[in-house]
Amino acid sequence: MGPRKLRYVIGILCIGPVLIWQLQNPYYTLAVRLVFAGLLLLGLTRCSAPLLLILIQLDLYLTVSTLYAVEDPPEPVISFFCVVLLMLLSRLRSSQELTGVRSIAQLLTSKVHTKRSSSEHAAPMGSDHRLQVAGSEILGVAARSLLLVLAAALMLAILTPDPSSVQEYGLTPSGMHTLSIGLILCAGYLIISLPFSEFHWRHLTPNQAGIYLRSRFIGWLHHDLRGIERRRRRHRRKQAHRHRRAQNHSYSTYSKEAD
Amino acid sequence: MFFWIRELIGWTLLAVSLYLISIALGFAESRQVIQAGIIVVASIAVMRMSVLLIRMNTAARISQQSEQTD
Amino acid sequence: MTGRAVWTLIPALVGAFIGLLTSNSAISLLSLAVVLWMMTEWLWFQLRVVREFRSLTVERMINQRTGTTGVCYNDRVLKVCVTVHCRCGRLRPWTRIRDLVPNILTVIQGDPVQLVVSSEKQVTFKYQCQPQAAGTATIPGCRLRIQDPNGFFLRDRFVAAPQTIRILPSCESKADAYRQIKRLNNLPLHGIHRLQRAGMGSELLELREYVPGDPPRSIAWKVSARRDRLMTREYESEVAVQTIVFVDGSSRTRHGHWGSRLCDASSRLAAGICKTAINSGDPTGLVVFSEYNTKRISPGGGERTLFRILERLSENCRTDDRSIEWNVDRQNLAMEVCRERYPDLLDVNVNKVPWTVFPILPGNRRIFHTRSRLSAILCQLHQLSLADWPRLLYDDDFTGHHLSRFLNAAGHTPGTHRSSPAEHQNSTPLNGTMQQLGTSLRQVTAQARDNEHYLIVCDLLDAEHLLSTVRPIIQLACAGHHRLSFVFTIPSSHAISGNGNDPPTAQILLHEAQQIELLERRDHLTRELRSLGAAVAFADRDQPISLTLRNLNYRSRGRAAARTV
Repeated sequence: MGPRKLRYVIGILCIGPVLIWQLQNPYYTLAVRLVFAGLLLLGLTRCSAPLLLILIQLDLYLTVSTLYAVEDPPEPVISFFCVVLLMLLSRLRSSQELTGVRSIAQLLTSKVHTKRSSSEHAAPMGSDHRLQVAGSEILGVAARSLLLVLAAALMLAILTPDPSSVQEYGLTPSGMHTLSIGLILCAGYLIISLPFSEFHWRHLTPNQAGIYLRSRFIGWLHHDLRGIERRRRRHRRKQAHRHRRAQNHSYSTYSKEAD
Repeated sequence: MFFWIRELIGWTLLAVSLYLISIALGFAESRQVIQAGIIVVASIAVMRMSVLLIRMNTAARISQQSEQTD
Repeated sequence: MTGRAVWTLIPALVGAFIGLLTSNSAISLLSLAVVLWMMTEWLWFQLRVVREFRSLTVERMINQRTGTTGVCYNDRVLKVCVTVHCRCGRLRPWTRIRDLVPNILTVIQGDPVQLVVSSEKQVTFKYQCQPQAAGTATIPGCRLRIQDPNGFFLRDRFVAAPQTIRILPSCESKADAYRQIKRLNNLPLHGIHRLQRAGMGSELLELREYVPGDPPRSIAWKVSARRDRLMTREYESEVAVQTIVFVDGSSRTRHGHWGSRLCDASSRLAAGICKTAINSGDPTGLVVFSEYNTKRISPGGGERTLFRILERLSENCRTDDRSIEWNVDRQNLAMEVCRERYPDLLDVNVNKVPWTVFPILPGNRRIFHTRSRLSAILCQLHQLSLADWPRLLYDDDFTGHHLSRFLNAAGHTPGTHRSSPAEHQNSTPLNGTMQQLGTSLRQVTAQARDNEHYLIVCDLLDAEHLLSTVRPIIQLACAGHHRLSFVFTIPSSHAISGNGNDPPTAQILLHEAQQIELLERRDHLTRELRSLGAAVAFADRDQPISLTLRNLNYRSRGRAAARTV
């Protein structure tokens, strides 16, 4: 099995469940479903992960709200497959940028070749081994995305707003939900980023420290220093002009005397 | 020594700014939005100053250490 | 954070909030999962940066040597082996390593860029490069770029591993030595040149009557039989000729790209001539004259003198710190170098731009921001005071000087940061160069003990009108029976390019017209110098030195000149 075929197999494996689910959607005509399937396929081969994410979000916005009631539990299977798809696609794009490799299979081949060359076994790699490596990579991505989806589902389930607090603050339940999750995300980011930024700052190089100090001082004194520099330049220009005039004057005196 | 004093002042100011934010949250809970807004602005200013002081102090210490080793 | 991360995070956050606000659980779950995915990737990336990225060390071996300095010849191949070692943890996939090869070196085999695709404790890669010209090549270190597998976050770092190689001009050793005839000799050395005094050479000087004590093998038996008395053959002496090579070291010879500059051709030629002379046993010296000063190496023999000469020639090929004019292109070039060498100094949290209202237009504002950040870096690297910072920001001459210094230190091709040859020609005074040549020639002639050979390697085609400066000194040297030879190196810009089948374009026609003018000037200069008694030869860039020396010899003495068998 060549890398081209393998790419298609991986693609179909990833996109298949989403497509099957979409094709069973009774609220859309066949044409709309085909358009969606085409878009998803295009997303896999041509588009980047953000575009695919927007397309999936649009699709979910248009379909899921009509299917399920607000109180129904979320559909983790769709999210799981979509996250797997997004992860694989972003990895593929990233590898394409770095190595010029055109498919995941080719990328895995290069990985295995590098491993083999480092251990000085330059035997050609069979398709079985290639599939094995591809399988392990996809399994890793799948496990990670499963964990992520579970964490997100847990967050949505646990942080459901308390009716009493909703009444107390006078917000809608959804607004309260949004606010609480937003605050949790912000707090998480701040708690993680603060130690890292502090660590980086404590490990500045002397050159970095010097530049920071200079740029800070310059930021405060910029207007005054610019004024001084401008005056100096003006003064220098005037001096040069005066010097030129003096030279011209002496030359004209000399020529008059000669006449 | 001066570096450590400045660092201490910086962290104290940061703690003050956090305390101000907690006061602002208290105002917000009791629906006193204008008071909360004023306190938040003040706390942000104090926090920026404290972060600037800590950063400047650290950068100056690193510069001086490198000069001493040179 | 890369653009891809921003464009993934925005729809994810927007989707999460829309999903939560509209109670669309599917969208909110998917979007929240994507946000959490990005947060975990960011956390993992930060941990990698803290743990692994800071502990990377680079070790480079050039031709199996790890020393910080080295010497090599221009025509040698440098085999470089770079090892990047991670002291803490492992080098993770998608780490890009790039050894910063200076422009003076050309990579001929392998790749100085390595991409890590699997977790390794250390990565080793090899490549080969060759110097393009004599001078100094400094490989400063490696630029490392770490990024996550999804391309969301990346960070650059420069790991210093400086190795400086002094590149000596290659010496062509196949050139034959040519015998000259000396009139006077005060050198006690044995050489290959003919002195018409009795000695132990191979050329017959005269026949004289036998004197008791003459060796029997020197008796000319046939002549003795004819004359009926014993005759003895007497041979000429073989002595050395002191050779001094004058090389033009003015800054105008350093214009152009590595390997195609005038100074590269002059150095190659001078190195070949010096080696040929030293191999023949002639004491050889070197004078490098420029518009500002003259540097001399007194004549001597042996490998040590040759090495000193080669070192001086290599030094002559190094770029100088003369000021250049500031413009946006040069500023961008310097910024490129900064991105390569000092990515940590371009961090927006460290290198802050002062806030100003003007310039308002986006293009001008970008230029101002770039200049401001570059000024901060130059200020720090050149240890300038705080008051010099606004000068760098507003004074173009001052910035030009420091920009030139910075680019030269980075080993950048001088040709790329000079605007045009015309600008450079006008900026360097030819008069000063000719005066320095005249002065050094006069000093050398005054100190000469016997017949010496002065070989001047330069390009006087643009200085034809200044020949009067050195004319009396040339006449004086020729009157003292010194041999004076001029070798003109032809700049590559004057070489005819393209074949005859191409349709004539305006550029080709202009080039041909310049060629005709050049030939006329050449002929005139040759006639003038020959009338003064000097020998003249022209050397192309790729012409063998033996051919140049042969041309010089034939033209000065004729085909019947004393060439050894």
